[in-house]
Amino acid sequence: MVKEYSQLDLDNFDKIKISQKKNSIPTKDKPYKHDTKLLDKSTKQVKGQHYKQKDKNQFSLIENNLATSQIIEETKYFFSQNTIDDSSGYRSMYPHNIRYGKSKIKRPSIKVHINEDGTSPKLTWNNDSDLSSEIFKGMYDEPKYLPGGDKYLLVEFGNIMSLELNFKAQGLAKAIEQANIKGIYETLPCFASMIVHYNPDEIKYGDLRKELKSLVNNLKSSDDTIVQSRLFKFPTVYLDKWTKEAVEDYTAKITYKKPDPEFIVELNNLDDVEHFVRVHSSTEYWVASLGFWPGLPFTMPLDPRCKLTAPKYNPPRTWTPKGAVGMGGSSTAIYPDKLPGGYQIFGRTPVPIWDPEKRFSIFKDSVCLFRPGDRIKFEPCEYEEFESIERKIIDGSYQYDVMENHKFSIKDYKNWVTKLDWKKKF
Amino acid sequence: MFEVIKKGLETSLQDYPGRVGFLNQGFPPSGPMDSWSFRLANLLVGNKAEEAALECQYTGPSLKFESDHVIAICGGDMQPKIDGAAVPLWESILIKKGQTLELSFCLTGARTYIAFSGSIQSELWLGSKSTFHKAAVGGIDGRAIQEGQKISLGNSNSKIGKKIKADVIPEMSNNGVWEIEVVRGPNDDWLDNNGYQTFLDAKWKLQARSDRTGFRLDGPLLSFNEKATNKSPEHGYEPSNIIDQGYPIGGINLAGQTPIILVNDGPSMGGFIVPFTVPSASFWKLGQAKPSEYFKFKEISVEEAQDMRSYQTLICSEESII
Repeated sequence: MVKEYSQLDLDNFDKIKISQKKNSIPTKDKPYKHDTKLLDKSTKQVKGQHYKQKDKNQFSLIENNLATSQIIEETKYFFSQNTIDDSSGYRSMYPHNIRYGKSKIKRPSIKVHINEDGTSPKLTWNNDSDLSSEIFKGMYDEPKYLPGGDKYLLVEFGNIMSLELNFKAQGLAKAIEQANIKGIYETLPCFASMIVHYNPDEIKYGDLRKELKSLVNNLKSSDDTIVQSRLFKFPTVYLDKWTKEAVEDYTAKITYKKPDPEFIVELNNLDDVEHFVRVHSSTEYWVASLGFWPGLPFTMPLDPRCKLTAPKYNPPRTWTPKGAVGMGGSSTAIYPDKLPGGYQIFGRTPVPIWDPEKRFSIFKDSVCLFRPGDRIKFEPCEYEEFESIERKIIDGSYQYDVMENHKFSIKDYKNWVTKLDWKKKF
Repeated sequence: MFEVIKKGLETSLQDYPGRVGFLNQGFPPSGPMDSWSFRLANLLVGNKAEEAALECQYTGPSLKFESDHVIAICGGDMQPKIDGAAVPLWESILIKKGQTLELSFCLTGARTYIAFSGSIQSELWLGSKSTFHKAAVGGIDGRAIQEGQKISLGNSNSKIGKKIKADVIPEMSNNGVWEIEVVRGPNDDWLDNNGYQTFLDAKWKLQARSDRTGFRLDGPLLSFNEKATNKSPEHGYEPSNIIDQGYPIGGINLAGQTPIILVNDGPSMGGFIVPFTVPSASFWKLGQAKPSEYFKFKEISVEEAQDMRSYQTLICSEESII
């Protein structure tokens, strides 16, 4: 069941869009004119059915920003339209499509899910569970083999975010590479699954499935897996002004939300934001996967005591500062560029993680810094250090802080986990 | 060599099958959306089917040639003219030094491919000449062609007057409705039976806000299973949220209640379910559909999708040239 906005609402969206178009990207110096007036802070509804008119008005701004999104100047929409409704660009191109003197342009609807009983979807939080016993759980007895059209096959190992499932996915990706199966182009291991891209002219779905099944059955337990792993240190300003600005901008234009660090503190029963920073920066992060955008790492904390959880934004942010550090689910990511996004953000690093021009030698083999199986450590730093590194990045003298040629043994890792002092307070 | 007089709406260099092998670094394949027309255009001018050619979207460019060259134009009908005189599609033609090839808006279809004998000279970027606009890499300077640009061509001898057999030319929709094949999965079990049936029964309208990244669809609301509405917080708030997973290109991503077909420049990974996937052999229809036209989906099996692809590979060959 879903609530849809009425045509009247939609018409109102359009009005506000026209009058506010020029003012859609505020900065701190030039605050958004309607900032405080439009946003009723008491309306904390995120999910749906009680949006007030003012809140709905904000949606047109989101849509507008998406349409005129300034991610990269080269981002283009067909017809160079200014808003999603602006079809004038193509109307003149297709004169045969104009049937009426004045055509009414219908706006795409905004739809928000609500349950049958009128409530919003709930997420099951399990704060009491014993983390030490949960960390290696969540695997299906048999992985699921799911087709993605004629060229892709998704192997799903489970439906929670756990390191064990990612070890499995990376293990299978490695086994596929070694087995050298004809017709497999590439694999992409993710948190709980792995997708295979294959050429059906060389191997059919049924055969591929059989091959994968036998590889999965012969996969030694992930304990025997040893992964080549590099450790990168990333100086990071936590609780920084840039991500704060992005979150404030979201709050002003899209919907009210608690500031991201405070939100994470509340959900994870932490003392305060400083406690959060200590917990978040006390562990190495395992690069589980790269995706969504060139070079973007999805990582998970290796120290299970530092595992935090937070849901993704709903609706997503239209922009995130380049180098922002954020988390969604139990995953931490670094944004390689100014991008839209859904993770809770709370820090920023000056160090680039992708370099299409290959200015730094670390990128000699790949324009993307990370490979699955690498590790990241965030090192809290002050603005001065951030700026000094930023200058070195610009003049090309920055040296990446990396330890190469580490071997990561999953067995040793698991042993380490069993010996952890769970009472330790960060 | 030719000079770009008018750039058209978004004219970019693509090759087939694009940038394969970099999925796990976050790169989509890019490449031509209608690879059927693309490959035929290359074959007409004596190139390998895979070589780089121009993809024109909605409104084509004007190009002034600085030497004689054999070219072929295949795909949507952008009313191609050389110095004002109409020239045919699906045929290898000669353009002489000093002449201008002019394409305008698409009468049928939405994308047209211009292939040049000897192909276009450009650097490989991660193994492919395809342009990936969003990250500004590949192709010519990482972006669509620009006015005033001079683009070098390779050299090869090829014949004019070669044609495509009539029965292997893709047939554009003439009523604004496209029947698009879909394969169920990978996340079809997140929809309930009703949602699944609604998806297949509905007529979906292609939104204007669609590009080489994704095609957004307008249509009815879909309903979900318990799996989608009762889950751990790692998944996300919306019923259509899932733990981030790899996306198949062609996957029909359900973002909230908006289906988005992830096409050639789409994201490789993300946190929404993909209940259906458009198989590669049906991509040419996506490439030729205009915003405000309608999609009607027809479910086929993986095996049928793979047979369709084999057939398409078969006809995108010398056999189809007369």
